[in-house]
This record gives sequence, C-alpha cells and structure tokens, in this order.
Amino acid sequence: MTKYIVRRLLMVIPILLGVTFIVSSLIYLTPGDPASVILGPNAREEVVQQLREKLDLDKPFLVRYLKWLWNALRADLGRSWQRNEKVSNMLADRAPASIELALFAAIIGLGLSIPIGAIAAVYRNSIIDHVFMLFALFWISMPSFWLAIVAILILSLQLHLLPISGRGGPFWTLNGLRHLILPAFAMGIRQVAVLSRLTRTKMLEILGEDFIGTARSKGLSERTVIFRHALRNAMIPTITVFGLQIPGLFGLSVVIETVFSWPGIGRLLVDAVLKRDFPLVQGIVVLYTVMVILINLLVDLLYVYIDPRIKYE
Amino acid sequence: MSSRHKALKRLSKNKLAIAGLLIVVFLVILAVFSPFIAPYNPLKQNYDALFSSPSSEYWLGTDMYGRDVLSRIIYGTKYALLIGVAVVTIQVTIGVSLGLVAGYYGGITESAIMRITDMMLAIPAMVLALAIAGFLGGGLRNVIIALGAVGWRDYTRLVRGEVLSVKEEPYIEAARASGGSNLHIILHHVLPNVSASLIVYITLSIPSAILWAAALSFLGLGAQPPTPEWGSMLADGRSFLRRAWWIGTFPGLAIMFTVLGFNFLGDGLNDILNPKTQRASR
Repeated sequence: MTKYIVRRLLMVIPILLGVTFIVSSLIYLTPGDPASVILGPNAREEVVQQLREKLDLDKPFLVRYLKWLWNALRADLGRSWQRNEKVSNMLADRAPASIELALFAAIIGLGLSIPIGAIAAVYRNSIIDHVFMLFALFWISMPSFWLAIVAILILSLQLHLLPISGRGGPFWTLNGLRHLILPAFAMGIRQVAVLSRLTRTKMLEILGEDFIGTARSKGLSERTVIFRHALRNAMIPTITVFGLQIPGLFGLSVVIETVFSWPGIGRLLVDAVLKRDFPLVQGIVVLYTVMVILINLLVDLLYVYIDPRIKYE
Repeated sequence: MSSRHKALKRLSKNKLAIAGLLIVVFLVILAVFSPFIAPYNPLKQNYDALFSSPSSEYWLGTDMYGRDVLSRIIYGTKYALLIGVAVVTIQVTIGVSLGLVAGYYGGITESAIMRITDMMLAIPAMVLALAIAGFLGGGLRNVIIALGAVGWRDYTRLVRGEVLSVKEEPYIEAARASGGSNLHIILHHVLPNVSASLIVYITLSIPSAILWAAALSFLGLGAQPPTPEWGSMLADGRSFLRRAWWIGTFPGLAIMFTVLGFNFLGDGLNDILNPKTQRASR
C-alpha cells in the first residue's frame, strides 16, 4: 500500500512539470506586451522597459520557466503584478475558503445522490422514481450560476432566510454555516443530478444479478440485501465518476465563488485573469491542479475501503 | 443504406430523441429567422421603458436600458448555437485527429499524445479556459478558441480507445493487404467505425460548450456589450437582482431549455446508436 502511494506520488512529478510548462507559456497568448498592459497606454517607454526587466519579460521563455520552477520548489511563486504581494501568501489566505466550499459541495453531491439513486432504483417506475429522475435531468441542464442567482433571489432577497453573499467565518460557527449553505448547494446540486442517475442505473443492474437472488433466498432481510449487497456494489462506479468530476467541480467553483463573492481562489483567479496578473494566475492554476491530483489519489484509496476485492500492490 | 434506415426508424420511436430534435429544430428556426420573429430590435434602447416588468407590451420585461428582454433572448439563440458548434468543431478536429493517430500508430507517438492528454486532464478545464480566454483578451472569438483548445482531450481518449478495438478487425487487415495507405485506411475504414460513439459525444458536448461559454461571458470574458448573449444578459440580471428579477431569470431559462434539448437528443441517440453501452459521466 505504502509502495503504491509512493509510486503514485512519483507519477505526479512529470504531470506537474508538463502542467507548469503549459501554464507558463500562456503569457505568450497576450497580444502586445504585458508590461505596457499593466502600466496602461500612457506610460513612458523607459518605465515600461524597467518593469519589463524587473518581471524578466526580456528573458527567453525557457530561462523564465526554469527560474520560476526553481523558486516554486522553494515555495516561492513570485509576486502578484497588481498588488505586489507574495502569491504564496495570497493563496494561503484564500485556499481554506475554497477547500471548505468544495468539500461541502462534494459532501452534498455524494451524500444526496447515493440515497436518491438507490431509492429511485428500489421503487423503480414509481412516482418517486419519475420525480427524482425528472429533477435530475433538469438540474443537469441548468446553469449552476443561474440556479445560484434564482436561489439568492428567492431565499435571500424575498424570504430573508439566508445571507446574500460573502463568507461568515469558518463552517463550525453558525454564521459561517449560514453563509456556506447556498453556495455549497448551488455547486453540489449538479453532482447530485449526474451521480444519482448513475447510482440508479447501477443499482438496477445489480438488483438483477444472481447474487442478489441468492442473498434473498438465504432469507436475508430486504434491508440487508439492499444496503449490504446492492448499494455497496453500486457505489463503486458512482465514486469513480465522482473522482472524474472533481476538476469540473473546481471549475464550477470559479463561477459560484464569483456569484456569492466567496473569498476563495476561484474569485481571485477571475480578478487575476481580468487584470492579467500573470504570476497569480500561474500560481492558482498550479494549485488547482495539485488539488485535483491529490483528490484523485484519495479517491483511488477510498476504493479499498468500499470494495475489499481491490488491492494495490 | 438499410442500417441507416433502421436507425431512422428507431429514432422515430424514441420519444426522448424526438423531443430533443424538435427543440433543436425550433432553436435553429429562432436563430435563422430572429429578425422576423423578435418583436423589437434587441439593441434599441428605450429610456421611457427602463426596467419595465413583464407585460402585454414587453412579454419578458425590459432591461436597464429599456431593451426588450424577449427580443434579446431570441437574437441570443444565434450566438448560443454558433458558439456550441464552433467550439465542438475545434475540439473534434484536434481531438479526433490526435486520437486516430495515437490509436492507429501506437508506440512512442501514442505515448507522447496520451501523456499530453493526461496533463490536460489534470488541469480543471474551466480554469484553463478562463486563463486562455483572459490572456487572449476576452471576447466571443477568444472564448470559442479557449474552450476548443481545452476540450479536445475527451475526444482523443474516446477515439483512441475505439481505434484500438477496431484496429485488429479482419477488414482493416484486408484493407492493408490490398495496399491501402495509412491515411486511406484511417479515413475510410477506421473513422466510420468509431463514428457512432462520436456522434453521441458531439451531441452531448454542444450543450456543455454552451454552458461554459455562458459562464465565461457571465464572468465578463466573453461577449461584450451590447451583444445579446445569454451569459452576459445573466450578468446584467445579477446586478439588478433586487430591482428587476426578469432580466436574469429568462436568459437562464433559455440556456436551460437549449441545453435540455441537446441532452435529450444526445441521450436518445445514445440509446439508438449504442444500445449496449452505459452512459457514464458527463
């Protein structure tokens, strides 16, 4: 097991090298010169030239990349062009809010979709099944940021039940939780839609298998058959797909954080991109990638607990 | 020909696919004939009718410049469909070519292509698209390029997998034995046999391209004012949420309706073309 984890972690290195290389080259997409973009159209040429040198924009790409990489290995991601703060400090400030939001969205996604999918499958073709699956279809087609806006409109502006935006502190405080509910649901509901449909399909497949008949004929209670035998098997593909959805979840967080003025790295990224704050964009994209890779590793390890047949060498 | 005939027959029996097809046809009609269908000019500002709530005169109300929301939504159909098709065209061109090459040639070529694909898969697509669109300078064209440049990876994986399973079939062997060039074999024997999954995937990629493009416009990177694009209309609506709920609500419904139509069609086509395969993630 330890060997497997170490090997997986080693495989991360080439991927990270590639990703940072791709991200570093993005700056060449900018039409014109970033230094003049930062200083605006009225800046004097020698000031622009000074900034260009300060930001290493006059050096060849490979030199800049290797320099960035060398610094990044020592946890130095450079300084934000706009705010002259250390990127690593800005990320450390903002990341907890993003992780908290993504975590709750994931809990909502997995926590609701598995029971919903299972109930729909057990009561197949009943009204509950049809209602659940119809909702799922609508939710998949709904832009999450629109759902978020409608939820703010109804729950916050009309009924005054929940705050409109912002973060109210960490999730273990009441105010923090109140602020967290809407954005987490807006983000998680899409996962619920995708995953509950999948859980239902897999449950139906498994409920038709021989070993379920055997379990029933052994005289096991229906509850044991469904929970211990069927659901446990149906959860494996659901978790696989959940792992595949993680990058999408983070992508969504960019939009949701913006709608709710959530002080996380997603909203920071939008600001950074609009202002072409290159080191900050670079740092955030790399951080997102690292999080995706780590979570996928965790998902792989989770299998071992759910499916005893899976063993990693 | 007869297999195509059979597929058409199955299509006519699949209610989901028919519903989806009808929605898509309806949208195309809206897009093509918007000048004749829309009651007002979508860009015409009317300072006597700012923030009018939905009424018999303005069915879906007016926005902060007094522009008719319904007319803007109707004109927006064109942008949504164009974005969806353009993005997917770029994705398919890059993704399918790389997938065909990787699957057919194997070896180092395959490893190189698949490692790059893995790297692209590790970066959240939306995050990368946002960065690319932003550095290119925003605007609809750059959003299309960004989403196209990011979303090809799924096609590469899909096509490579299909090619690997088709490659060993006897008819490929036969084509090679009869002296067909690699390009000829790929285009005439391999590609047609992977096209069923491809058609389904394309139909399902169009709505996600529309959703993501709307999200990027919403964030201020896509369509620039006064373009009647649904995502940027939603962003307007967000700013005036307290005052005029209709500005953002209806464009959102339009996006949902469009996405739903393509999803119905895609799911239906999947049932028809790949009766055996499971729908996994999207």
